[in-house]
Amino acid sequence: MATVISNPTRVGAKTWKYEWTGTAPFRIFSYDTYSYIHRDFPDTQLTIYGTSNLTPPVLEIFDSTEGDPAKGDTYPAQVVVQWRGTSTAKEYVVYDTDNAATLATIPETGKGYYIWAGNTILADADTVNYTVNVKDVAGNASEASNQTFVVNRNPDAVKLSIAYDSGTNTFTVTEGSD
Amino acid sequence: MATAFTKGDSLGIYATESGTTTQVFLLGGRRAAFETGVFPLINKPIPPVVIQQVSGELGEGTHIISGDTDTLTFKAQGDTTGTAVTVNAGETKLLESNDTDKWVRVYRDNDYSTDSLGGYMELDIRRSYQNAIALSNIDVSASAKVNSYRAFMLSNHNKTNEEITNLKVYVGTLGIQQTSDSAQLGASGSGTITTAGDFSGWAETGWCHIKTSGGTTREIVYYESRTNTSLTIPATGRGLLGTSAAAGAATDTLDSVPGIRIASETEDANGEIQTVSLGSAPTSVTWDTGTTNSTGLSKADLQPLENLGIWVHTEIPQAAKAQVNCKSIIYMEYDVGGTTYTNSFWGYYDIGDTSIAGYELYVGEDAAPDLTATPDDTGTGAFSLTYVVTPPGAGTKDVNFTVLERNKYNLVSQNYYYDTKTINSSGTDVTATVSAPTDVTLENYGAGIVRLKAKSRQSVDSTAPTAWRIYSTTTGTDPDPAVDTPTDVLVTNTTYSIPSYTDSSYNLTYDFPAGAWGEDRRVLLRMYESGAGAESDNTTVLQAIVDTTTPVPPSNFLIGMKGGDIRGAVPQSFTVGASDYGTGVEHTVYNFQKKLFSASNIIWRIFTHDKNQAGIYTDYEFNDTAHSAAGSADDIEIVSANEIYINVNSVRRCKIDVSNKRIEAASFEFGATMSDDVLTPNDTFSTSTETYLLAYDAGRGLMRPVMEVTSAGACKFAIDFIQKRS
Repeated sequence: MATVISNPTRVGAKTWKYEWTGTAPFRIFSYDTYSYIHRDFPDTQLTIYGTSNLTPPVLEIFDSTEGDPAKGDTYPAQVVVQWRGTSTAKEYVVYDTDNAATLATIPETGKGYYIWAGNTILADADTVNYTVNVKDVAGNASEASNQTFVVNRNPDAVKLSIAYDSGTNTFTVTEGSD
Repeated sequence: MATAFTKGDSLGIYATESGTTTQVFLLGGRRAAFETGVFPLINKPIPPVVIQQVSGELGEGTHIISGDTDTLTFKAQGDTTGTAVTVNAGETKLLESNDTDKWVRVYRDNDYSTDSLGGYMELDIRRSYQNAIALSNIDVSASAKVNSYRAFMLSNHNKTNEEITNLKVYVGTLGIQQTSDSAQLGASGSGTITTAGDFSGWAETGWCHIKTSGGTTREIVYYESRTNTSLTIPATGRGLLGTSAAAGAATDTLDSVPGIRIASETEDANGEIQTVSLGSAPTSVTWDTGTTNSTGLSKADLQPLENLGIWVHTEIPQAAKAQVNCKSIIYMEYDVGGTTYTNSFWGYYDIGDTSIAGYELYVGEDAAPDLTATPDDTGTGAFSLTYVVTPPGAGTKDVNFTVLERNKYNLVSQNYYYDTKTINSSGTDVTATVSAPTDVTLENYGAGIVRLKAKSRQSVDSTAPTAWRIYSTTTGTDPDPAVDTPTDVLVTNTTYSIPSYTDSSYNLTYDFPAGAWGEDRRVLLRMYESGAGAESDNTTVLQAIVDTTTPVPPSNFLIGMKGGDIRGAVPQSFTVGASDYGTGVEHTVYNFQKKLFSASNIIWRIFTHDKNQAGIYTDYEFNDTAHSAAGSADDIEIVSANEIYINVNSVRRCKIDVSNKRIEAASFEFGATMSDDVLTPNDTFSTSTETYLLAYDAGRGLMRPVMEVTSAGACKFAIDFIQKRS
């Protein structure tokens, strides 16, 4: 039996309650964090704090009979950067050139390969340019090694603002904001 | 032997490049200095080991290098471990899995790390997007095909100067081959191909290479949708990749293929092939769509350091469907030192369609929106979507709204939450501005009390509700806010409404007055905001049937004077004296007798002083006359002093005819088994199917049923009737 989710209800400021039916345990993927927040959840309700009063955090909930990966697993929103360590390095600086921001400074520890996984949820269709600079013990920096990545993922949930004209019985739906 | 750049690693895949100050890659020219292909993520490194190249035949998955002091072994996913290889400092070596088409070239970087090779290394090969074969994502055109051309080079970089012979390059297939044995395309135009086989492993949209039973290409088509047994081909999907539309045959074979064809170009004296501008086709090349080593490109030999240019033409038909994860793949088959090796080069790209990108409005009236249906309205950019509703004939209608965003690659936002607006029969928006309570429960609490509990989050609404509004009935019908008068309990009422210490909510605990056994309590709870006079939406009507009574007094209760008489007493909480049913009819308890009077007429006397003396004394006769007329809601209905009925669920089932001294029912049974487990201090107890008359049993200290009338009209007595002797 697949999971059937009732319409989430807001139970507090940016706080939402999900209720559903299905066969426990449940896997729950959150599009707020782009990660599974539960992989073995026994209950059929969950109260979760989100980022909006207009729309709940988007959750994909799978019961024990469903083996599909979450869409957010297939089309992720976070960048992973890998590079090979060098013997002269003291540290590596991961840099976001579009936003002129240092994302991470990672010390050289002799492990060989380094992976930096960003926590930022990138927007659909974003193009990001990240560089990795090597710095030696004297503080000298290498040329930047540039990587470009284009995000293609499921768009975010849409917040709604709904107006009603009782004269024409017409609802007009536009994008809302908190 | 595990020398790098030998065996399967003899044939390198390199990008092409042109230009000097500004280099242009993959549009022809000379062989670039760097290899291309697929690249793994290294989840668990062995510090000195550098991955230089992997075979495309590894495919997606996790592959393992295991190390000891100076040796490494390789195990591809799904294969067994290959031969151990010694790798000394500064050496580059080829590690093969048991299947020698699956290999990885490694370098031991002693400058970086002098650690031993002990440990293991995970090579996580994922989908590679937009590489030299898959190219960039492509947006379709509504009016023309979209063509892309790229070039890379195959190079014999064998380090022992061995030549490569019998080189074959061909397009890979993407699914299990089927036969068009059920239906075929016509000579031109749109159509459907149907198989008795199974297309379920094929991509949702893609290209199909149709061949005759002899293996000759008949046509390559694009299908815009499929089921498990059929492909739907638009007119613009016919005759692709250099083929022409042709009528199919039932014996034709069908292969799922990438939308590519390939051509080879021999390098000139400068080691270069022609260059093209972006979107332009190379000239003087022969395109090939073969999917086998015998129908693809071939070159008899490739000498050491010799390169062969490979052009890839990707053709997206006019008005193709958006699709993510389109895969392109070619295979290379070649002999080195008398052994045949296979490698592959693959990658993914996405097809975009800007015409589908935008916002989709889904509306459900008194139901959740159906997100699989056709949208009720669509828009782009700063969208403004409209929906016209027909007001309900009476009452209210909930109109539920969800908007999904779809990108040009046909990926859709995953939200399913819907906003609700409520309109009434005159088309006025009557949407509640106060949020309904949550966690509402109604349960028997004991002693006939039903307890209502709920939670209200004060911070949910812009103006917090001021009261709990309780609609309640005990009539067996649901409460109706349009009719029933509610009981308001202020949120600030410290008796019933307690603020939470953990969040900004109030918790209601409200006890209804004690009800009789079997009382049907139904409750509808809303929140109320007095400033605007607004109520929240309805919540579900909750129901509780009273199944508790006040505690039964202790049995065998005695009272007396010290050293004097002791006698049992009827517990004070029981009805002592007369139960007046009106019009002179009384049920009287006295001295362990229960007498039913009608005026001065005694209908019966019930003795339950002890078991031996229990009995019902009467001089009335019993008559098998069924009754089924509608009666009152009372268990004992008094029409007049001479006409009394015992009702079951408001239907007269037993008649006591005082004038004729007769008790009438459909049937009679004496000495019937009757449960004592009826904990009520009252004279009667009823359910929807039975009505009981009770008498006090002093021996057990409780009221016990002595007479039962059923909805079938059966009149049963737990103890014998004794015709009155006096």
